[in-house]
Amino acid sequence: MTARHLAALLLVGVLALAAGCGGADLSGAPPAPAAEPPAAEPPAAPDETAWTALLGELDLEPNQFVVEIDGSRDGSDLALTITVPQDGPREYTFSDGLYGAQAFAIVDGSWKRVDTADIRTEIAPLLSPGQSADVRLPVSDADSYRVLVPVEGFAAWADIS
Amino acid sequence: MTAIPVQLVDDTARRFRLLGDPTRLRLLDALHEAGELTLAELAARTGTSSANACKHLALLDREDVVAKQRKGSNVHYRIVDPTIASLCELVCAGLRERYASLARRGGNRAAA
Repeated sequence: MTARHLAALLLVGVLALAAGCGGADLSGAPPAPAAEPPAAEPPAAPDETAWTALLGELDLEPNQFVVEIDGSRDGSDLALTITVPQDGPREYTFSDGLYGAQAFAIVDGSWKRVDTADIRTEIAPLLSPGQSADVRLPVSDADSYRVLVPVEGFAAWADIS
Repeated sequence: MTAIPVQLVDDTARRFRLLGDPTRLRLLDALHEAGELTLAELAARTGTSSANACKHLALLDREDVVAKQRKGSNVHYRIVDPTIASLCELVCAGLRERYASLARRGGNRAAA
């Protein structure tokens, strides 16, 4: 066998391998079903570790239910009701006229503040156990919101869609 | 010096921990100067956020160092523990004396 024959045999082998690895199928067998396209990623769940870190940056101790927060989207606002539980230990002071409420959303994979209430009245309201207050918090558009209410160094929060 | 009861030592340590925070000392200093201030006024005078001032004032309130009172739509704070001002003044006076002593020693070394 000459060197030229050997080179020709090698070339045939390489072509056969290429066909087996996705090249043209010359076998006559029915084509394998095409692979399913990747399913769309589900929306990212809020990152609780990042949320805890954010509360740390704000110097707040997580205590999700120190006050109860209910609410829904109403136009360009979140309509919120903030309630001190009946069995709360004492009257709480809130830091501004919107009861300190802030809205966050996941934007590009991290928590970003999305309420637009930059200017707030400087009154510091009080709520006793069992009392509640209604607050309208203007927000920019997001699919869902996490509302944070700082309460005397604690952080209460609720998710609102 | 007589032995201090264990409970009193613990309570004293807790009181010093309460005072061992610059923001709380600034809040107390502002209240000492003004007598009575709102949360927003205290936040502005101490250069902190209302939420942070609220947190520290709640701690001081719980330990009966300050008291809050609703006046109209706002809350006013004042110092109710009469020992706080003299305690802070005592510590500050000691530190001022120490600074002066260090400065004198520094001056003597420079002159030598």
